[in-house]
Amino acid sequence: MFSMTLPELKTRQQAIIKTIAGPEPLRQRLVALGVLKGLNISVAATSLLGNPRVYSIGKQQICLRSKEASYIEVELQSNGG
Amino acid sequence: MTLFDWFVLVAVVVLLGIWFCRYLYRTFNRKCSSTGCSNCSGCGNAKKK
Amino acid sequence: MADKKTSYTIALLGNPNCGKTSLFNQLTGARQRTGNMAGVTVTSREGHKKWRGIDFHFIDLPGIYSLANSRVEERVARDYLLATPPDLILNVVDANNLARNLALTTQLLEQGLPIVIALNMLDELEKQGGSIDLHELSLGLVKPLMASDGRSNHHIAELMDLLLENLEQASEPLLIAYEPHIEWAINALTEVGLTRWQSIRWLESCGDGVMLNHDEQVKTAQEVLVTLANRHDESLAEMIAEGRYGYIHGLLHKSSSEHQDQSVADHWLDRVTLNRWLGMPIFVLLLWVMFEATFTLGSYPADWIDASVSWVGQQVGALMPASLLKNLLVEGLIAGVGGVLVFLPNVVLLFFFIALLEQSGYMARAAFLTDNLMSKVGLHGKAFVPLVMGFGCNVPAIMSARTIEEPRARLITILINPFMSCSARLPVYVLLAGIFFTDNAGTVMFSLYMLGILVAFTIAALLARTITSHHDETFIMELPPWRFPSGRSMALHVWDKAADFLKKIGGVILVGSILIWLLQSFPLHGTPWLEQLGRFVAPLFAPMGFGWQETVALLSGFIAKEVIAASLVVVYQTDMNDMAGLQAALGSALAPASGLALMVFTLLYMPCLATIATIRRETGSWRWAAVSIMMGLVLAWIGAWLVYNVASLWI
Repeated sequence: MFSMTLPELKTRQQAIIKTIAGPEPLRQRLVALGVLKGLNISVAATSLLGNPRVYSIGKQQICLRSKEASYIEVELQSNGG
Repeated sequence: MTLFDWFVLVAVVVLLGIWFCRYLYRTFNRKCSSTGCSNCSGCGNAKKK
Repeated sequence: MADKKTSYTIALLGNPNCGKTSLFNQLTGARQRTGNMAGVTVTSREGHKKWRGIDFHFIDLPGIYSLANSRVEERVARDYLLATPPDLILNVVDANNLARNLALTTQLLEQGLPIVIALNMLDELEKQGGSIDLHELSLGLVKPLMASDGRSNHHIAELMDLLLENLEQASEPLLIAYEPHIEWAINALTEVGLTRWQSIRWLESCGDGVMLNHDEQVKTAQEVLVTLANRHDESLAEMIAEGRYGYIHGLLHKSSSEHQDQSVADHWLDRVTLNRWLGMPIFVLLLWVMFEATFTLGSYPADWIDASVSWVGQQVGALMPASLLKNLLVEGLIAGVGGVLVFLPNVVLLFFFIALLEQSGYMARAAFLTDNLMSKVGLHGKAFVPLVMGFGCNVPAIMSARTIEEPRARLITILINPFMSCSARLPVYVLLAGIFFTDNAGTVMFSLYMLGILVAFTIAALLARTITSHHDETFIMELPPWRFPSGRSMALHVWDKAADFLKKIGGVILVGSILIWLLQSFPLHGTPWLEQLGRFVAPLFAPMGFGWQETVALLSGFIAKEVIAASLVVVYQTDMNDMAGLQAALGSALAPASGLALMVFTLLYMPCLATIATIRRETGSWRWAAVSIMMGLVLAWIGAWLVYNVASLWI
């Protein structure tokens, strides 16, 4: 079990969302979008300069900049792929 | 210039004048002008018949 | 009970991009703009339908994720529900993301609002092998529910009947059991006079969503917040969401099965379009293809229109006795209006392609690809939608910048919008590029659009340095699933655009042409007023190689940019009453470098009257409108001068 923040997650790695920190409006926004603790998350796409990235959570694809993503702590699941 | 030509000229000038005043008024006083756009979401009179 | 009402208000509410506006259009016969991305609807809109003798008044609210967030769209929806409660809410739910969509539904249910649920996009879910037991779900929610589809209207009658049956719906607030500490907090708040849903909303939004009435409430609420903050790391929003999703998952467990993965085709499309290295080149290539096709495909029908217009002109010329009226009709009206009408196919094609990109879901991906660049120049990620809309018309585009809350980002988005080349400028490009750069017309047009974007971004970067920012707004965007654009909605969209263009031709362009003709024809003896005016201002434009004709055309473009094309036609009156004549005349009067400079000037110089009015209204002051005009004129002059001098070396 290895904890890291979301921007550190590499392509093709699977992780589970552990905690969501940051300013209150951001947390509320993420929750409203369905970004919740305990869900599986992985990197779906990276832009040219590596920021922002698209993450998939289930069927949803959410685009986050590193700044916002760094508030999300995840736990690595597998290194496969 | 015949009388008819004068008549046409005056009519055109008057109509143009009225139209432009109306156009300016609508553009600057309404939420959206009838000619400027149609898909604007600024007001209800865009597509309401 | 009061007397039977004959008029009822129904509000459409749901997540962004779940098809509310499509459904609204179906219900009311309106044709509001739709697109496969979040945030196309900014303010609420209204429509009517009479059904079985009852007047239904529909309100299309902006798409929201939650009633407890505090963004512009959410506030619009929330304030609306509180200030003027509708008789019934039509909650539109996307079947593909049922859990999150139902989270909003539970907020409505907790508030005890009367609702009917329309389940959209069920076909998409079923195609991917998922299923929902509508009956079971309806039982679980204790609310009427039916499958709907914004893309076809065969179920509208059924939906209207369902709404009709539920007009006097009695509703009990839904009770969701939350985590014990949350329940304790809710109790504490209800004891000082808040209702249960108000307490929950207050906790969820950390005090933003509900107004507290007196000091005791404020005191208790603050104490509750402190206590909970000491006990938990999680935010209250998270804990309440857990309770909500717990309830929803229990519900869905019984009624639905769905796959958790993207379909193979979608996955493949995303792999290509969002590819780290290929994404940008593909985006640029798509735009190039779009402009190339706009020019080449449009030229065939344009020729037919041109032939018809000159035929009409000749007939009128031959049949009418010589008089001022005849000159007015043939040289002013038919020439000017016909000169712009020719570009109808190009305009329609451009709108077709933009609609294709929007409705398929590509635009949201393009926003992702360009986000980094945008943030570098001080633009907010949300500026993408207004900027793309600017390719159509700057007026609605500037209004849609309302979604951006941070004042500096919003102002910048408004001020740079006129540099996004709107469709009114297309006729000028098509005309001039066709004359001077026949073989590379598409590429020249593409370059002009790119130049516009480049200027917009440069100005944005400069403005970002001079205006101070208030705060950073977070940018979180959901990528919509790929959707095959429905033929019907594409056809409607394109038809609307064609109708708008025709209306504009019948209005401002017609009047503009007549005005130009009038100034061109008088006085009857000596130099026409128009030429006098042109020659008076022409020295200003001489460094770009423009004659008085182009000068006059540019001046007339202040009214609307299409008028530039109409003016050129009227001013370069040629014996041949068709485009070939104009092309020959313009081609011999102007050097190619001047032609290019003229296009650049048209691209950059001051926004049209309607846009100026919009800038003034949206920024609330004439100052910014004036800034926009000055900025445009200065940039256009410098840009055209540079282009003329550089191009003179090459061409």
